Amino acid sequence: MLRETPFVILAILAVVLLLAACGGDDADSVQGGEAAGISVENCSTTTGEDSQEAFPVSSHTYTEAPSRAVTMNQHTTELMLTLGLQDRMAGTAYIDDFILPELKEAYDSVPVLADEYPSKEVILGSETDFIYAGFASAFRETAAGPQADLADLGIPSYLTLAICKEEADSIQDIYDDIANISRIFEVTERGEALIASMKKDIESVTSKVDPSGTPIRAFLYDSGDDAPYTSVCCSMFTNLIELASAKNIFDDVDGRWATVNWEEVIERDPEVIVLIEAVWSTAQEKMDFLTTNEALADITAVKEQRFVTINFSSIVPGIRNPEAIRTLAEGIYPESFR
Amino acid sequence: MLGQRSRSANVVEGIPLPSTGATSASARRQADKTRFLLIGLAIALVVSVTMAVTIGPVYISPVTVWNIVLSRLFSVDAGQWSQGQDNIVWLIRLPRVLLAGLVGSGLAAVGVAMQATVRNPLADPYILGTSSGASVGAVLVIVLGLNFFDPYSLSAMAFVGAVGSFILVFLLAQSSGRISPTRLILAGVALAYILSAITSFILFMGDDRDFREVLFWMLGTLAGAKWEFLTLPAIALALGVGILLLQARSMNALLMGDETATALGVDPQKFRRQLLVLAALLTGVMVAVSGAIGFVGLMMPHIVRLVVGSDHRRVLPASVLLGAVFLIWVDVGARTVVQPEELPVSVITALVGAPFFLWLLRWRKSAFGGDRI
Repeated sequence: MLRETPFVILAILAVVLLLAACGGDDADSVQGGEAAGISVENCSTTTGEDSQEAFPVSSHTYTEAPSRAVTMNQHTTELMLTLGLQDRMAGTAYIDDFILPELKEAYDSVPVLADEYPSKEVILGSETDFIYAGFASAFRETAAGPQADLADLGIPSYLTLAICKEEADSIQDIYDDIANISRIFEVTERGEALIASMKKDIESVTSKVDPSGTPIRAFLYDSGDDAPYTSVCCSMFTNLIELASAKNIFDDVDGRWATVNWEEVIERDPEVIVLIEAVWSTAQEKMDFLTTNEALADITAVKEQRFVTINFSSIVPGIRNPEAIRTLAEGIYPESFR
Repeated sequence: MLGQRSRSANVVEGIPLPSTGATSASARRQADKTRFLLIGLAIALVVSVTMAVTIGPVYISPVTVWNIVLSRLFSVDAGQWSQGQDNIVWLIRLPRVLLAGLVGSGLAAVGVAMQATVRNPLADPYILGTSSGASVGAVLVIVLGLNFFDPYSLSAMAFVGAVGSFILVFLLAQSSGRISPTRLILAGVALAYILSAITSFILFMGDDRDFREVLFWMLGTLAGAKWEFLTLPAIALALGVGILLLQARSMNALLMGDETATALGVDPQKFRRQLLVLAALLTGVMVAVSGAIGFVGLMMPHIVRLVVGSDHRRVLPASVLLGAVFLIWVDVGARTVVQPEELPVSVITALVGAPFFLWLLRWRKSAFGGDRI
């Protein structure tokens, strides 16, 4: 037995190699788009990492509307539910805080695949035919896996447009997402109505705020004691705060989010501080930290106690953004809204 | 009893020496024990593969699972199941189980080789700084987005990092053309610190959200297993284990000290160098496909030695088989314990391994120098 062991081991390995050879061949690929269908331009990520560089553009032709969509992340889930597509959904995953009350019933009718990202097996087990993700991290190996692999299995995937581009996130990205999704699911009238109502909501806020004069300096405080984590130039928050006629004091820093330092915050002296309300860091904790910290006591916003609280999920690109602009504007210019 | 020597001469800092005595009743019993163990492990491996494929976060009945495998292997129509189930079993579970077997075997084999090379029971595949080097490669891809070898950039950079760090350790540990085990370990540890610091630096410079992904990789995961990822590890394992098995007697000699080895006809410097190169390459391949899975390389050789003694002709095949079975079941845990999410593999290997190790220390007084510690 001892002398034969090498051969036994080699035999086992030979079997494995054989399997590898034949196993790799039969990958079903997505049908080429020769049939008439709806062509949608999107992007794809190969590494599953959010990045400021543009992701390679890809386009896919949908010959028929998907009927078992899986949405990953809260903003994509809410977008689909707002378009009334819950009966075409086979699963949702990774909610940040809570689903909007008006969407709760629809949300409960769709199986929740996982609290965070489900593994590949679970996603395939839902027999999905379309994946709509809000962050590139949804396509990591430990989550859904690379988009190319999903495509090989006949599962097209769509990534929030805001992530795809190099330019700063803006409300227009949401409108484009709504347009694309409503086209894919053949509910274009609902999509147009949603976009129109969002524009109207934003208009009703921006019309009340006077953009003349120097914009109010605002600082977004997400988390962190030793060093604050904040939104920078190209995140959705910067666009939202501009629409609320204020200015993100860190809009000159590259990227979407960054860890800065308190010295810079003191130097840039925000007049209002926006506190993120999130499960991992409540607004109250942050307010207590700011008001009890001697070094930060001279910051205008802290001196005047000008704080605005907003949910994390409201500033992620999605259908909550008009409400976010209203919250920010009302918080910064309360007089305009009396 | 024949063949028994005094304890202090029989142990080299924790590894019982292989006996070079002639055949006797006890040696024959040892050979029988080994035979049973190897047969048992081989059967356990087959059973493990068959069972592990039926287990996962999505329930699929075992009969359906085996039907799917049979129908894919032999193109027979064996029943009804959905496309999703088919993909899960054939494209996710089976490659994953097989990869777990390959990686477990590879790491165990390297563990045996490293413990012989540096004559130290705490040696594992990563003492040359290979895991720290691979981590640098991984953060370069995950945090800084350096995609040179798309779509295999993570694996490729991890491999480059692992082998690169080995080369550095190798060069640093030389002193007038000779490498002593102690210098090797020291150089490996020091370099590991430097590389870990670089990894941490890059991590902190990047997006906070990358932390989880990097940590996941550093703790090892088989979630990315695909058929096309099996070929290279299988070849590397076949070559690596094949070569090691052929050199088993020389490894026995190495364990007895440089002077004794030379007397037995083995050039310790040259042989050590060969073993190191082999270990680095094999570790590099394994780390490239699965991240840095800890404890397997350290634990398997010791468990095996408790049953079969220290003769590498027995320790090697037994460690290889045990490593495969062990990692297959650990990976089952990784995909089911926190289902529907994934756990990194090293969390489980450590939670299972460390208590066992402590038990070993406590109850097997004859192991690790017994009364000398």
